Amino acid sequence: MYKLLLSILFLSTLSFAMSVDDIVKKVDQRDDGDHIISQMTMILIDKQKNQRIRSLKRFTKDFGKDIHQSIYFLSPNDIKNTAFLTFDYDDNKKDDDQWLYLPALKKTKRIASTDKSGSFMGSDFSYSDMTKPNIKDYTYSIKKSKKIKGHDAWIIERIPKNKKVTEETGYKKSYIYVRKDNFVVIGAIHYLTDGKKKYMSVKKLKEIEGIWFTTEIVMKTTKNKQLLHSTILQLSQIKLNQNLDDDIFTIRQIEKGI
Amino acid sequence: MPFLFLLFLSLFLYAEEDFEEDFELFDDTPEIIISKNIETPKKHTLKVDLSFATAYNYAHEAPKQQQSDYRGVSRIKTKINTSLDSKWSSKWQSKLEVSSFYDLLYDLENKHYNKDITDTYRSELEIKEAYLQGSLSKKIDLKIGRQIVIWGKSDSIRLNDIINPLDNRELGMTDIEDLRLPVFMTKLDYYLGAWNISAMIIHESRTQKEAGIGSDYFPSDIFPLRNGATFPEDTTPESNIDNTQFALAFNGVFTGWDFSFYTAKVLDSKWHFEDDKKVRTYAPIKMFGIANTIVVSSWLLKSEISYVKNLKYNSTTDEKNRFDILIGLEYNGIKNLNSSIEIANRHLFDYETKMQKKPDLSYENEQQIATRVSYTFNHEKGMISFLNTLFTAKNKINGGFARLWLNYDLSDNIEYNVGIIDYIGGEKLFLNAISNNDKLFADISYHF
Repeated sequence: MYKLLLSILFLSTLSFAMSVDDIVKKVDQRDDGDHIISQMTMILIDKQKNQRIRSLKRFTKDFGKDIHQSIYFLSPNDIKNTAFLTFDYDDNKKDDDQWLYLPALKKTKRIASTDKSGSFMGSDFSYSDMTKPNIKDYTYSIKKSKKIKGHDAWIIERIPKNKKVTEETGYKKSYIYVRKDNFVVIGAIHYLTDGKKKYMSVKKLKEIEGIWFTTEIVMKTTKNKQLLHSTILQLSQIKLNQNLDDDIFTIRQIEKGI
Repeated sequence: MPFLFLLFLSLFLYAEEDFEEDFELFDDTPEIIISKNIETPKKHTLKVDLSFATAYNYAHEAPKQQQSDYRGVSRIKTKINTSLDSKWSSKWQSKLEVSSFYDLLYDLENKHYNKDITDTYRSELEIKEAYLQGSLSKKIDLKIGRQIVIWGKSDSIRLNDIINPLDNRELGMTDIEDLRLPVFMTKLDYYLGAWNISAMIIHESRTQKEAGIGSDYFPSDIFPLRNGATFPEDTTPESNIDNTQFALAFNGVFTGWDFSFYTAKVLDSKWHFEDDKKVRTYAPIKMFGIANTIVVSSWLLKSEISYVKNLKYNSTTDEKNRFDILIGLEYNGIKNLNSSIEIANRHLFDYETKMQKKPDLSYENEQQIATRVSYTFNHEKGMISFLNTLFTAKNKINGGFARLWLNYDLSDNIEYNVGIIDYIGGEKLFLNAISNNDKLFADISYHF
């Protein structure tokens, strides 16, 4: 009985006992699937509530610790067939390889940029938001625990360790919301170097084959508490373990399209 | 001391208050109603672009007698571009693109243009890209039909990019998507690891679209002929087996760098006289080239070398060879800003000073410098771009142009362009002759 009580007590206090490093490692190492195909829809909304919609298809595959990703624009017509290929290297000393196929120019351009703070295709998501952060680049501290939409969550402060990371991401500080039961990031507040703030909120989560996926995310950009722009990112038709051929992640493929 | 403590406490409390306020804002995320329908991918995609373009020449002076008046409005063009992309299977697809335009300027009663000008600029209907593309095996692709193949790594200067002729009707004014003219060819690609071998048999003899003789881009007095003689229109060699062109490329793509080797036998982009100046035509040339890019942080270093054989000139009887070299730098390290500079030198072997005279206007060494800056803003709705191209030789400016323009998406369907182009005069007769073509331009496009 004593042991049972102790076990219950241990389990109930586990979340409080975890160090921030343990939490961050759990978040980083959480199974996010492999050989994934998904459909993405981005709804870009400006200050006047005008909407622009971009429809994309994304392919992702792990190559050891590196991640290869290709994104194809399906609509609207003026950017249809534009495609983006990224080799995201785990080694932060190695610059990512990135190529952009522009159908209007009939040319694939290699993109040389360590700056990932720019807007991803006009959305409120930056290129750094679209890739997994390297946890070694930041210091973390737990600010508080709070119930978010019915779920217990940690609010973790994340600060870049050096100026280079701040310049690359455009974020000088972030608060990351992590659900305690599944270690999924369900929200974030990013403080940008230009005085703006970005609020990321996961609206929908879905468990597919035992892996949690965010299927709807809203990112809002504000300045002085005024909403400047927002983006809704919806993920659908998520398919895991699709046995994706390496050839999908090539310039040949992004030029041919899907 | 208590004061300092209170000050510290108040700062701490203020920081915490800000922190809490942010959390409240985070939670306050009302549902957004999506007002537009989300399109699903289709097997056939029909794309129609309708655009209206105008331009205004502001630097020309009143013409002398018998000369054309290039002042004022120089374009009232409506253009329709239609393309059909079809996906027949997971391996095969096709494209058919038809483009047409009509320029009302050439119907205005107070403007008088010669036949060559109206033929060149009044209207056009043509098939642009039209091809079938697919995979013959896991490692071999086939693309047959009218298509565009871009060689080289440079964005602004053409060294190895010789497969497709150019639309040179309005130097510096042609949209980049319309600049290269598709040619009919059979293209086979073989892929092996990081390497790709690309072989092309070019069946169509297609040459540049040059400016209308007597137009503001080809003033008649550039090449005055003997009394009564007329400047001949350029003639494209026939498309037949004897005139078949060939091209071969090896491309390697590696982590942080890539490399290409090219060789080709294609038509020269430059004309020469034949038959006692009664015919202007284009001769085949042979070329070998290499191109390379290396990524260093946010810098992209570009280099190209090209060796061109069998160039024909008018002032000499023998054919000449040319060696071209290019270096370029592109920087992407500043948010939303892309900037690049490219410098090329073209060296003619066995140069003869008479080649500098009309109509060759060639130098032993001629340099081209291109500077490009573009800045995107308002979530990529807008882009401001600047392009400056200068030709120099013997430490003197031969001419060039500087163009500044704004592109803005009013919605997913409507975009507009406004800009200004300034032509820079210099030592080169042809470039100096068009130096007063400075203009303001604007267009609006609707994408269906």
